[in-house]
Amino acid sequence: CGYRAVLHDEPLFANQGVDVVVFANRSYQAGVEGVLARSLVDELALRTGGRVVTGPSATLELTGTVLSYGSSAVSYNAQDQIREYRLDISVEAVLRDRVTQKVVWKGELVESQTYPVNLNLALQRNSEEAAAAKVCRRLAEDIWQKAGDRF
Amino acid sequence: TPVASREPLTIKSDTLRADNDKKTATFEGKVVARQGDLTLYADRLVISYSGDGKDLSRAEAFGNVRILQGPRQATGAHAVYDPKLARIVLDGSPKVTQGGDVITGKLITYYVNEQRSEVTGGPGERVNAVIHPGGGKDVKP
Amino acid sequence: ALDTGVSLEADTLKIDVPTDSYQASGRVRMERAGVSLLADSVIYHRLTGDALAEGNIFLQKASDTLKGDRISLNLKTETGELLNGELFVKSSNFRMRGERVQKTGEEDYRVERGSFTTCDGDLPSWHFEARDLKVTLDDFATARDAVFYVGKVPVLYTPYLLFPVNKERQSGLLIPRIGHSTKKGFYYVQPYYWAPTPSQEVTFDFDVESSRGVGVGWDYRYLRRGGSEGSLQGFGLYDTDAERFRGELNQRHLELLTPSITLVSDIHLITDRSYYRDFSEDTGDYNRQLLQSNISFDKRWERYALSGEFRYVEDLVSANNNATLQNLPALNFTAAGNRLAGPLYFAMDSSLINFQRIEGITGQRLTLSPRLTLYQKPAQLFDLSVYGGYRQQFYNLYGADAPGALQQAGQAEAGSTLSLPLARVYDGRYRHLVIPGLEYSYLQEPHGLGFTPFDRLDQIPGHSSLVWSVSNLLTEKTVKEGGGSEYRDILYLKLSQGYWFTGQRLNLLNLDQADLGHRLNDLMIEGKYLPTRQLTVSGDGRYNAVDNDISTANLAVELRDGEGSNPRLAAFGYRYSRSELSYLEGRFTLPLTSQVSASVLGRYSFDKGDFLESRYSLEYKRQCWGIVGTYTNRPDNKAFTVNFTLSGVGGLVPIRAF
Repeated sequence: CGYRAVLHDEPLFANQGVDVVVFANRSYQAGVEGVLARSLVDELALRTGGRVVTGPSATLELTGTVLSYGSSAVSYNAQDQIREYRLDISVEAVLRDRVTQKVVWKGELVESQTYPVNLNLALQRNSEEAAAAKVCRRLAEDIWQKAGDRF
Repeated sequence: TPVASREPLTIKSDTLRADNDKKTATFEGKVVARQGDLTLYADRLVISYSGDGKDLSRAEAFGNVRILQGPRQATGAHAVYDPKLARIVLDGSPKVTQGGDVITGKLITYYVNEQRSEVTGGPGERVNAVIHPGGGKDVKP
Repeated sequence: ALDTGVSLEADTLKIDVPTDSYQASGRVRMERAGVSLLADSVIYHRLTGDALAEGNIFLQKASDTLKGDRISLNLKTETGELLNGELFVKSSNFRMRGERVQKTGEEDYRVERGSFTTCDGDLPSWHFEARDLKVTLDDFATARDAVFYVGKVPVLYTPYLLFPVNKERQSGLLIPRIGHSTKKGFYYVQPYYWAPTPSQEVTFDFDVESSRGVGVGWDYRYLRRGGSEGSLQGFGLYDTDAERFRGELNQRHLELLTPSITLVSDIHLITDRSYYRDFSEDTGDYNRQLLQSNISFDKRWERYALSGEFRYVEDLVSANNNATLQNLPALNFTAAGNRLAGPLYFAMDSSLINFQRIEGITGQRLTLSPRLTLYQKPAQLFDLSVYGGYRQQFYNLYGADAPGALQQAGQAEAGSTLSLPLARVYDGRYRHLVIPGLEYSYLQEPHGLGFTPFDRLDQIPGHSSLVWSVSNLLTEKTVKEGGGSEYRDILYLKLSQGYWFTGQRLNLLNLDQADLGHRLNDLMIEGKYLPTRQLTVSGDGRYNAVDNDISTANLAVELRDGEGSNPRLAAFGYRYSRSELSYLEGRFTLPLTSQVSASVLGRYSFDKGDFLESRYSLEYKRQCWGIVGTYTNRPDNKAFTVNFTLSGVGGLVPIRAF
């Protein structure tokens, strides 16, 4: 039917491996770069069959910066009280050839996820963290799809 | 009198026709005229002289006129040389090139002794010049 | 500027070889590296690059022009002086005149006793006159001892003034805001904008309110070397109505101590819990749910990240803040994933949190959750991952019903994901990426603690579940003239559904929890559709297969205006959660005539069967100034404001009619 596996034509897969470096964090929200790094390693290792390696043995290097992290109200109840927030995380990512430092792909991405208000703020915090984890997974998928955009 | 005209004027060409009544001489065919550091090439050169036959009163060059003086070069379809004013007037889409600079116009007046020239445009033909900056030493005429 | 040649065109040209100078006259036109000069006559000295031009001077560089009577200009350094000159910057319609306009650099000008405006014509509706005026193209004009004129009438004096000379930068200036509202009565807000240096700016805000007294606001922002930045923003007013001082203080700072260490402070303080409800105008502020302050650090290595945070949260909805759990501090260490051998990876999340609160259990919780994952590509087609791990938690609990000192709880976890990414390119221009996938996950029933002292992470319900999903991505490729190609995502669509063999689901992302009890949980659809660069349609929904009912349905449509000043032309959002929420928000801007545009915002709660808020604003925009009237209707606050704007100079707050 004309569909074929997304494999060998993309830069990520064609090389010895990619070094995923924890992003810098300019978002006033501590810790988000760790959650993003885990999603990135997991997604890229999954898609490249375990070719996420460290420094010297990699031919490609993925670095970047978390630009912003913010929740804004998106829905209200009958008393005009906030019922749901939307969390937006934007990042800037760069995929480079480690040796020549030539940029293979560079982009700015933003993903968002809504989460509910909870009168118990600790439980609402769990929802916010779950939303952040889902946004980071989506950003990791975006970066994998974008870096392989050669068609 | 201007220095240039006391230098000997030597002219070479394929043919020469002299006309003593009109006191003119017409050189034709690959004409090369030299006077001091100035050299003129043309297809045809008509010179006329005055009085006792020694003083050159006027020279008119026709066809592929090219004037060389040091690094300066001027070309045009027709040129008139007036020794008393030490001035050559070129027309017929004349062009002056000097170092990297190229200047074109309708009429170019070339002052032999004063290292000065003047280019004037006409209705259809504006003066156009490309001047390279800095102008190192080598360009000095 | 490059040392490229000068091309010259004129009626006559005198060449003087000894002095290497060219004297051109008669409709002279000179061109050099993108700068073109028209004049009646020009004397150009090739060696020095000096050019003296006289009569009907017209100097153009890109879209900015300089006009005047006489100019002496050095073409190499592009500096010089223009007599009786006028500078015009096309991008912001900025126009500056002066007897002596000095061009001090490629992009810099200076004028003594000059005037500037963004109005066309010789009789500008407003203009500034300044003793000393400096302009940097595409950046700023700074004026000293400036007087603001409306027509011919001097209205305001300011010793110092910063004015943006490009379109994007809107900065408030001296433009007052007046209005009336239920809470404030009649009010007059006089902003004053000052930027002592290009990397600092402060906006003062004198606020006189008939029903509450006089207040002062400030918003100070700074940038520092190395990318550090920060802001100090606040407002204070002696509330004659409540007979006490009321206000807020917000401080933010981001310090890049080293390339791998970042320090952040993000502090928000208010004098009383109803401050926002009384003083804020916009939704999200006046009905603010919580106020969170934190001081934190991030330290990162190649594949590890350590962060620490003192976080204090003020719950503005509940009666008091005693029950709110505070993280004083919380430490997080993440190992993002290291390859041990072959495709086997070790990763770990861990956190140590010191929970404090006035009422309720307090204590420390250490969480360690290491995980081993194997990644394979069976048959070079599928993407397979298999993982196993253990979530171990240690507690130190204090408080009335706390079960003694050290407790611990642990859960084993395992799982696998299998997916088959397939792609097909349609006539070289569209690529459709489709990824069918399966995800099995197992979490052991929690044992050890038996109750949840702090939050949902204390007792994540054990389960074993299988989730299938199909995600689609349609990308369009456009080839740019330069040869490179540009990619744009047009459609993202994901379908997923899970089956819980055992245990219970933990749904942290949805209001509606009806499907928690069912083994087959809701079919979920998430999508984002961008037919053009200006239009975005995004939405998600969950269909409860067991009850044959819609659990959640959310839709958002946004129409942008390309690069217009008000980027969002129209936006609609509807959010529905069964038996929990049904809310619609819509705003759109309608140009009525070339100069008048109307904007409407409506927030409608189907739960209430009525509008929560509606705003109507009318903007009358002239070529270089404008006036915006806004009426806001909220049950407890009806407000009308009038806001003047000078084009190139926005109202104090970047132009937000609402």
